[in-house]
Amino acid sequence: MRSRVRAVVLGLGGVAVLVLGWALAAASGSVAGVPAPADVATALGGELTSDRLWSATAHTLLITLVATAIAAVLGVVIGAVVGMSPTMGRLLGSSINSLRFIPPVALIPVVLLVMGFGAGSEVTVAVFAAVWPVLLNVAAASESLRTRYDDLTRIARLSPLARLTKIFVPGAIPATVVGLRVGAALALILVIAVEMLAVPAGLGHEVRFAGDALQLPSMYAYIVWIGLLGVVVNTLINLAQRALPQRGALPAASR
Amino acid sequence: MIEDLSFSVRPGEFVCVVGPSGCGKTTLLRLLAGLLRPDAGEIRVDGTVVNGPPEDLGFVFQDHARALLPWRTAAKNVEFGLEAAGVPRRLRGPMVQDVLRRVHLPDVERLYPGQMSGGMQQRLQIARALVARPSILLMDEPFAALDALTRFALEDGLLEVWHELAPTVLFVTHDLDEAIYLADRVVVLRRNPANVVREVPVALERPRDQGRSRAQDEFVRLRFELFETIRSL
Repeated sequence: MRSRVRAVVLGLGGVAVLVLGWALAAASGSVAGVPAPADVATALGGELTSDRLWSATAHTLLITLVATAIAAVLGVVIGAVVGMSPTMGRLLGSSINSLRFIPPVALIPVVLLVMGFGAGSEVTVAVFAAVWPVLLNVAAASESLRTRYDDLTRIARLSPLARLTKIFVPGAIPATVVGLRVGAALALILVIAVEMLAVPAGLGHEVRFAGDALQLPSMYAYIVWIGLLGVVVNTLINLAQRALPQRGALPAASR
Repeated sequence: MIEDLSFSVRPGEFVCVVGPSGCGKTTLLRLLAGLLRPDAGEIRVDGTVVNGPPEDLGFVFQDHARALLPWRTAAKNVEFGLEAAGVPRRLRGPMVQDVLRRVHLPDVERLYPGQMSGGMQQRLQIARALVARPSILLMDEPFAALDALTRFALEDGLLEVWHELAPTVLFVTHDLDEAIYLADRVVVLRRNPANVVREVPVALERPRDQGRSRAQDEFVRLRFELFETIRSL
């Protein structure tokens, strides 16, 4: 308990130092275009009582959620196929390895041309970013389960279905959750990027809009808000992960 | 690597297989279990050709990390052996309890393998292999990674369950003392080509005792004989 209090105090201390540095920099006037933290806080307070911030937040979070869900399904299915079957692994391995190094932002112009300036583009780009951590984690876990328990499943004469339900699904859950955590964060970042660049909706659009209107405190207020949102989302995922039964996870290194 | 290797094991007999490393002890076990297919020819157990893992067979692996499922509790790991054999759910509980008691692992049902010592995990593996009461139990150096005292305890535990449940046991080991202590008969393999060089019956009385059995003249004589045989290969 004491160490937990200590951790919270230290964490808040770090934030305080950061804000203090920011305030000093703004007060000295040496950095142009940076409003004082107090102005940003005021602007954030104002935005928090407006519909604009909440509807933009709802839009961005909904798109992120949808994109993460799609990425989860795609990543789990493709990852499992690649990891469970050596043939599929060889067939798809090189495509996966070349596709995953394409920066998702590089796809934004293409996606906009094909899908237009709407939610579809946001989801598509975010899925492309979020699918890799899930897919690669699930593929690695399935492959490790396949090789590790090959003898066991054959001695037990497990049917392919039983192999799936008794070995692969329970064995790959921890890796899937880890992949989803990383994927969800990437999805949020990409959704905001697409909103800033092209889609007139959501938090990214509000940052861009406030910046274009030279309402700098308001722009920073949105940036701070996005940061806070990230902390909240990450905390929620952490809690969800801890709520999962803490079963002996597969020791990752011993394959 | 293995050519024309044949030896017989009586039902309920405890046979240990020893030989220099690389002589194909593990390969032999994997062939018998149907995990490997022979490049040519066939494997027969009881006159039937082995085409894949037979139903009536338990296997204890050397490495428990490859055999136990870390996300299942001890009891659920044992139950795995029954699920696979298609035993109805309501019958499983008592069978799991029974076999865990026999391998001296009571009160561990809710522990995960990661919370158990290496010796306990091997006991758990033996329980899983035996829970469906197979008539043949194949064991691949199951105690090789354990310290001497734990190994003694597990050897005695194994002899106890073998005595009670009477499966035919084929036990591969590189430890001559262990082979003599456990077996009714020790089979010595050689390599290139793998072949049975000798079959040595062990006349030590049962039940055996780690202190007394190992101190008997017969034990010492057998060890000398086996050692000389293997050294001459």
